[in-house]
Amino acid sequence: MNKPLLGALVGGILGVFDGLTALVSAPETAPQIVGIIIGSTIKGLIVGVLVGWYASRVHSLAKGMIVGLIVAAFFALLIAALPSPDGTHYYWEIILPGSIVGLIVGYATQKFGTAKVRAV
Amino acid sequence: MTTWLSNTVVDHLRVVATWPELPGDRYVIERPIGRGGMGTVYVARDTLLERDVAIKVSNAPVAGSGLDERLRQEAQVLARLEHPGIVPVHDAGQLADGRMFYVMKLVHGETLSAHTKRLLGEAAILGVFERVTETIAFAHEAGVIHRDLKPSNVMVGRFGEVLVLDWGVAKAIEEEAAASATRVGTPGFMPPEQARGEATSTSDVFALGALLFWMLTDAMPPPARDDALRVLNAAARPPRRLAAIVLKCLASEPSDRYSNAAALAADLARYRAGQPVAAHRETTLERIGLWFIKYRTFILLVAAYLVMRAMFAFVR
Amino acid sequence: MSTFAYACRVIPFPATRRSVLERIQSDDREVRRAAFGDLAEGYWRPSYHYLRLHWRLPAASAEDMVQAFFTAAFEKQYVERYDPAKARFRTFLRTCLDRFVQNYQKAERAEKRGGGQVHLPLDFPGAERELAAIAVQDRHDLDRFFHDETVRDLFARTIDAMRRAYDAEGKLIVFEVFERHDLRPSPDLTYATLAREFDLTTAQVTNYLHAARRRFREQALVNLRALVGTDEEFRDEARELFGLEIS
Repeated sequence: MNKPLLGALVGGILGVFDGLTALVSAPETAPQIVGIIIGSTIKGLIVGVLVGWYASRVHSLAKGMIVGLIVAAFFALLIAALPSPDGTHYYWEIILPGSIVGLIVGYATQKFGTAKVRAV
Repeated sequence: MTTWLSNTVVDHLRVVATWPELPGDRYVIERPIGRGGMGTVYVARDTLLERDVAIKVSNAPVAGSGLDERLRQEAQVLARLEHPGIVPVHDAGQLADGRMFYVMKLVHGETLSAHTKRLLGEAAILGVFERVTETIAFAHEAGVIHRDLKPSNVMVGRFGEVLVLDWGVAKAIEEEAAASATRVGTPGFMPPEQARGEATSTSDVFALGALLFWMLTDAMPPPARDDALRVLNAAARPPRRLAAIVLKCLASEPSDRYSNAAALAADLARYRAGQPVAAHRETTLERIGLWFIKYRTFILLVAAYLVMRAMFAFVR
Repeated sequence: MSTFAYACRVIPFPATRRSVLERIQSDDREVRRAAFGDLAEGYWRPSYHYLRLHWRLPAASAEDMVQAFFTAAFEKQYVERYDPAKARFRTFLRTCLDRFVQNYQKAERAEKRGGGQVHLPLDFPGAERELAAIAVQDRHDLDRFFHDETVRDLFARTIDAMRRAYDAEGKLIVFEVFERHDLRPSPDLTYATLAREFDLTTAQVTNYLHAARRRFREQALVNLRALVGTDEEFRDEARELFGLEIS
């Protein structure tokens, strides 16, 4: 499996899980849970593809995890900037766990998956 | 007036008066560097290719004797085994008095005895040992057993290359089985069956185990397993799996050891990768521990995520 | 001086020169006299150094003692009393020398030089100069010291004989190359340097050195044979000196 695809898979799965955990950390968001999960999953897929693409170009565990952290935090920030129906923003609850998800995706795409080897 | 000769000159004359007379003028002997039971090794200058080489000359008292024949066999074994861990042979021939010699690469480096003193930690030791094992595994694959592995027969070159030397008593595996019992080897690195003249590839495995034991503890392995384990734990405190690998090599019964150096090399690779090894059956707890060590980064990240989620839930 | 052996080889007994014991037991007086001449030639210098350093005799006394000892050895047939089973010949000779000195000092009289003595023109001043070069630590083990001095003198006489022989053959260049490389060794000296120095090819330098070293070895063995008591002792000495097996 190539790295962008692996990233998408890991990011997507973690995105679903991340969305579901909103029920625990912010139970008042239960009515919007479907939208939260969809949004979180799409975020996870995009982050996964981007970080996976980076991992196919740069083979460095530290750099891959940092890039994962930054990319995931960016998208998490975009999501967190959207207010909930009652106007509440859940910045920390979205960005912090979302960043860790980015770290996990960065780790997974550096360690696993196959990168294209360019002929010289 | 008689010439006055200093001690240095007298010693020098005693040496050069018996230097081998090589045919032609391509190789020029410069100095002796070692003498073993079978031959004497000299540094020489290859005037054609303008490089230093090592020349091993038979110690045979007369041409055509058993020692000559063994040197010829050693040269042929070396020529057949082309491997980065085996010194390449460049040339061979006969001296003016008919004795055998062969020319090989001159290795600039230090013996394992000196090198091991500078190795820090298990990973460095295993890194060197693995190269020795791979070399012997290659030889076994080619049907040759070394029969005299010991620290002084391993050199580490100036670029970090690891070379196994002195294949003078090496034998084809089939020949060894067919030949009458000949006792060769070095006490301490020689298994019981080799002392009886019945060496096989497992005999080399025993020697490799003794070598690793020595590298980890700076001592020779005691014959009894329990004593060996005690010395290992006292000197090196290796993980159980590594100790099991060493002890498996040193088993007194050949059938209890690894069948050849390749099997040992494979188990060692598994050990270094954090995987279960054939020499040791892990308990459930050990398996979980191995799994945790192998995936520790991932597990810690997931744990951090879950802790963070739990924190938010708690704070709320 | 270190002891070691390299490249154990078998070579035949030197064709010339029987052992000193065999020749001294000859019925022919001239053979016996020649044998003593060789004995004196081979051992006078180590004996002189020994007398000077161990017995601490003044130079003049040591000179007289050496001449007197070899004269007495010839006239009183010391050598015929040698028993190979008890010791090496040089040890026997050194013991005889010790006893001779003790008795000589007791009697407090010197053997006069004159008719009937074996008198060799010995270079005592040269031997005296060499004393300064003998390391202090070499003097403690008497047997070792006497052996080392015997070997040193053996090699020196061999080299002198080689020089004369090569000169007579018109091949002095061979000896000079050998002398430059092996008698004045230097870590920076290579065969190429030697070739340039003597206007030779490297191959010629190699061949000359091989030839000279072979000749040195052969001549040294011939000279050694004249200094030992028996064939067995000669084999032992050759093995110890050169790592050679004599058959």
